[in-house]
Amino acid sequence: MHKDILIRIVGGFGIGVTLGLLVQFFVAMGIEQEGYAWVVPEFQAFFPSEAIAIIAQILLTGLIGITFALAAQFFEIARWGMLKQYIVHFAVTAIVWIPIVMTLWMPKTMANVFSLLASFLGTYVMTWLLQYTFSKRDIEQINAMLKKEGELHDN
Amino acid sequence: MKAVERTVMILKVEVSVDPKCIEPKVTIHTAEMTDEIEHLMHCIASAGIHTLSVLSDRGVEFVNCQDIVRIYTEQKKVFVQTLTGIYTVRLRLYELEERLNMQIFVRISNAEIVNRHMIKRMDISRTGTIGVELVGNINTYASRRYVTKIKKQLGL
Repeated sequence: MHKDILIRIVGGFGIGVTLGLLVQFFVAMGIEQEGYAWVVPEFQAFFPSEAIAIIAQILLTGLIGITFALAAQFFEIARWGMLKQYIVHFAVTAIVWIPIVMTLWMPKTMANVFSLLASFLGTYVMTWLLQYTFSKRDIEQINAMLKKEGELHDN
Repeated sequence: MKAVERTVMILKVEVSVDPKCIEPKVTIHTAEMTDEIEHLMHCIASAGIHTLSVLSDRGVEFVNCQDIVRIYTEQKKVFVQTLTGIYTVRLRLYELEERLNMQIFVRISNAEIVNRHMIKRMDISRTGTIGVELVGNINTYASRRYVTKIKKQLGL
């Protein structure tokens, strides 16, 4: 059990950092400066040097990854049901990733902030709806099968 | 005279404990192959697969795997529930999964394995809680992730 959590933490950190670097790559394409922008200038301004800013960014994106990796455990709590699982997962991960993403990449307009939140929330709603539909269909099939087996037993 | 000897089979049972022996093995020494010996072989061979040693307040007991309704974890302990009682086992769920006949048993969540012949019906609530109704009025929950496995188990 402890080993499982450790694997999640390490894996989550790695995935978080990788995705963070990928996001930074696309953000950097929009920044005009000499050489590659490893961090956005506004974020770097918080730190005495670029190197420290980069380390901070790696740690923060890693933290997002760890949060998601651990929060996945909420989906294992069967008695909660999907709605509660999704709401708790959203709330817990949002508390971590929203402030971090805002600090790292600072969307400049309200429209940007809004589209970020909307796409995140939209993904949850879509996934929930799909999962629910699939589960409902699966359960109907299972019940039909169980009923058929039951009738066979009775005869 | 010989026929009498066969029906009253006197067996010497010997156990040798050897830490180097990884898988326990039973050897029967006999002068000839008889029906009794064959029956004995079947009993020994099937005892390992079809029964499970469990603990109750009366001590160690053996339950027939077919009688098990569900096996679940609660507060880090593993419980075996039959229609007649609830017992504990020292094995972890994944160890039981390796040991039990997984044609009969199916994992329904991180914390639970059920006997598939004991599933009466399933349901899904409006908030997405997947309920499993078992024989003996036992109600429990399944994880979305395992619903697909249950389907497969039922041959769907």
